[in-house]
Amino acid sequence: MVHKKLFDRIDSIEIKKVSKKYGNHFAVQNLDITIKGGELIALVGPSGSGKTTTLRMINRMIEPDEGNIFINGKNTSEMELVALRRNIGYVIQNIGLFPHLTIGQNIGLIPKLEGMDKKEIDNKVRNLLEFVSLEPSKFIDRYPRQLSGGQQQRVGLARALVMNPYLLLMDEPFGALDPILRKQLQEEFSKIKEQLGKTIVFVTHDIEEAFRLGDRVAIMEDAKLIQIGTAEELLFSPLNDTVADIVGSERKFRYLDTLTVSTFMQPLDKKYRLSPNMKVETAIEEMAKRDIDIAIVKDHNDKSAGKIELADLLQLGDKNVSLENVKEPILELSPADPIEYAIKQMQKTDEVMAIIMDNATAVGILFSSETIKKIM
Amino acid sequence: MISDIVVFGIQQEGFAYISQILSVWESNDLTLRTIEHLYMFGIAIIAASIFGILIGIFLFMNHRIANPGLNTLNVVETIPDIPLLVFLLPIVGLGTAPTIIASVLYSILPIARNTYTGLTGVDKGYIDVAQAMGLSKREILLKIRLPMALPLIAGGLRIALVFSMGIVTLGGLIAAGGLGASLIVGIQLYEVDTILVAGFWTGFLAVFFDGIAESIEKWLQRRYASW
Repeated sequence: MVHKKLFDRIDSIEIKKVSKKYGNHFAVQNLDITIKGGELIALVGPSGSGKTTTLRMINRMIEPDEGNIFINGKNTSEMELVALRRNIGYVIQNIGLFPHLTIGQNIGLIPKLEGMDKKEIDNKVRNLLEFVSLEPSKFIDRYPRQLSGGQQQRVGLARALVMNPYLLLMDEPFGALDPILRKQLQEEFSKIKEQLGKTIVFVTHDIEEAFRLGDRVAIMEDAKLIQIGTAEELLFSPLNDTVADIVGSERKFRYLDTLTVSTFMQPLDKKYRLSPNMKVETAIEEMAKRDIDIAIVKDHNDKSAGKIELADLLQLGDKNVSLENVKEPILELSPADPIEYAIKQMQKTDEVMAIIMDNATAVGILFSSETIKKIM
Repeated sequence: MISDIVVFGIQQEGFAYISQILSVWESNDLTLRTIEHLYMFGIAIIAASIFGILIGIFLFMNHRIANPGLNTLNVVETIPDIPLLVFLLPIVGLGTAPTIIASVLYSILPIARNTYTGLTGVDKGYIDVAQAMGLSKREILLKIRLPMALPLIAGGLRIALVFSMGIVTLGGLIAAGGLGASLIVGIQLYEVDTILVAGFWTGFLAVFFDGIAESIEKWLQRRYASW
């Protein structure tokens, strides 16, 4: 049986007012989440918080009692069940490779059922095995029990990708692995995540994993969504004590009081510095050459510093003006400022960078994303 | 010197035994009897496998009648074998037919029961993954459940083999031929040689087929069983 592709890309997944009840007790209650196409959203929460139920309602392994889930604006409950699931990749903790099938047969199962050509399947399988760093000729004819846990997990991922789904659901995929292997696979996965360019919904109870891999993190507790946001938002403005507790703001960032901007700033590299007299046209070339997309505009006496962004420059109609006239104000911080204050300031003003001024001398720059990464 | 004579003596005695066995074999037409025996046995096992597996699948797909169905087969199983043969006589007459039918009736239960148990017992985790991948119910039955139930089905088949061997031998009582017939002749004429040769040979065949079935079962377990 051949099932058509239900979508060519994911623009959005909207979970609208969804509830699921088991007996008198809500597994998921009145849940609203909108997932953007191409993002990795991590659902985090203690066990029983409803994160797996939420995940499984997306491919209708569980049907919601109330509410609807829309993919690209189309109601999933009106889609054909088997087709919907074949359009969604699914990876789970205990992998579930079928023991009676070889690795190649496991990965190629759905393509075979879809009546794909044998050669085409074989090609697909080999490419996928390579993609997950398993040598095809060595693994394709082995049985799952002959593989280690980590290798099986890779095969599980390859199997989920075989129909080239635009949406991937992952339920604690690294949960059963030992810590070292888990970290290794997380790193590999965060690399291939970019290549995949897929929308991914990822369930985990490990907040660090969520922060490491997720573009956004949704915190769930007692069947409800409590807060959804980026790592920075959750860390520095937790909505309530529960979130603070789960993300570990208190515990993890107590020591931040003692850290100041000077620890995290980078010296003001010449690379990031452009002269105010430079013409926009030259600046664009220069920034491309230096491989930067943001720069600081200032003269030698460090006065009247400002910043420019490559994206803005490219949109300018008149490229013959000097940078002096197009620069925007930049957030200024002092090296002695506590780092927590610095990040909050950057968040408040929606800046990704700040210039560090020490007595009217520019001594460094601070990037919010890198700072967060270092703190983690 | 002495040991040479002893060895020679044993060898000569050995030859004597073999030629004695051969003459018993020939006078009783044991080659023909073995063919008859295996013929009935083969048909019974093939028929029982087909019916047993189909009944097992049918009961699996109709969970509600699974218990009554298996219980009915159980009742058949509790009828002692000689009365069952006698009971079949007025219906299908003498000879191979009632023997084969009785073997099949006895053999269906272990195969059907093991098929049913095997299909039902597949770890829920695999079914869950299969559903999530988008396998239909039919595909899950044929591609996941059935192959994973094979070791257990083979176990049922092995029990059926032993049952069938016994019933086919009993067929000698009702003119079905086979090795049972030679045994009956031996018992009636009190020919100890015939009883011994036909008896050991029948026993050997049973052990031999059981051994083959065992190795198939073991292979299937290695190949298909979950880890």
